[in-house]
Amino acid sequence: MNTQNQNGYMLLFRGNDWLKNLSSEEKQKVTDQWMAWFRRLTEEGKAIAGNPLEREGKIVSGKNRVVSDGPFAESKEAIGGYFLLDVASFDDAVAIAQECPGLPYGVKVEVRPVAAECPVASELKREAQFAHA
Amino acid sequence: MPEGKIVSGKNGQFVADGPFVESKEAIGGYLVLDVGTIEEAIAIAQSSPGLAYGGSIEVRPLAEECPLDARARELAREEQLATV
Repeated sequence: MNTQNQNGYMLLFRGNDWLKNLSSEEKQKVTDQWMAWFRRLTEEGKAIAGNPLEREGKIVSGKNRVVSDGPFAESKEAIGGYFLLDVASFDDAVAIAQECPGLPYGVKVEVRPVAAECPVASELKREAQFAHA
Repeated sequence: MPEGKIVSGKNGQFVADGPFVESKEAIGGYLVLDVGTIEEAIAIAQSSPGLAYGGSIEVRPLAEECPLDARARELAREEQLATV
């Protein structure tokens, strides 16, 4: 696997059903840790963007462009926020994900390389090359 | 093409492959919009060329502060009120 990537990595924080079992003190502790973690990564130049997301939103789908409620507020898969990282390798990004203060409470962190161009566009180019070869 | 990894476990000790490449739920990309209302954001989502082919778009407001923080403060206030 190519582990170098000039375009950065995205951390997607998944799960927002873990909070309900925490006391307000614990919640405060985790959020403080999370903010301090993001501040440190920003100061080190490793995080270039990041945002929490409001709990709820809308899903647009289908040929008829239907709008429905979602994602459901409490779910193991719902995305609660993201960081955009500027680090040299996939391993660096995974190591940062492993520091996430939400992990002990069941949060999962998805680590994804940001693509320079749409992978669909690159696939089309490759197919076109084969067709001409 | 590098795919992704999912990190989980108390100490982040589990690093698994994922998400699966071809899945209806996998995230393929994102746009950050600067518009005034969620209705405008939804209207933009509705103009996506991917919708006709089965793609779907999740529209989410960015939070000014972490919703966890806001909720923790709310709970603290409720507790305070309860003890008065």
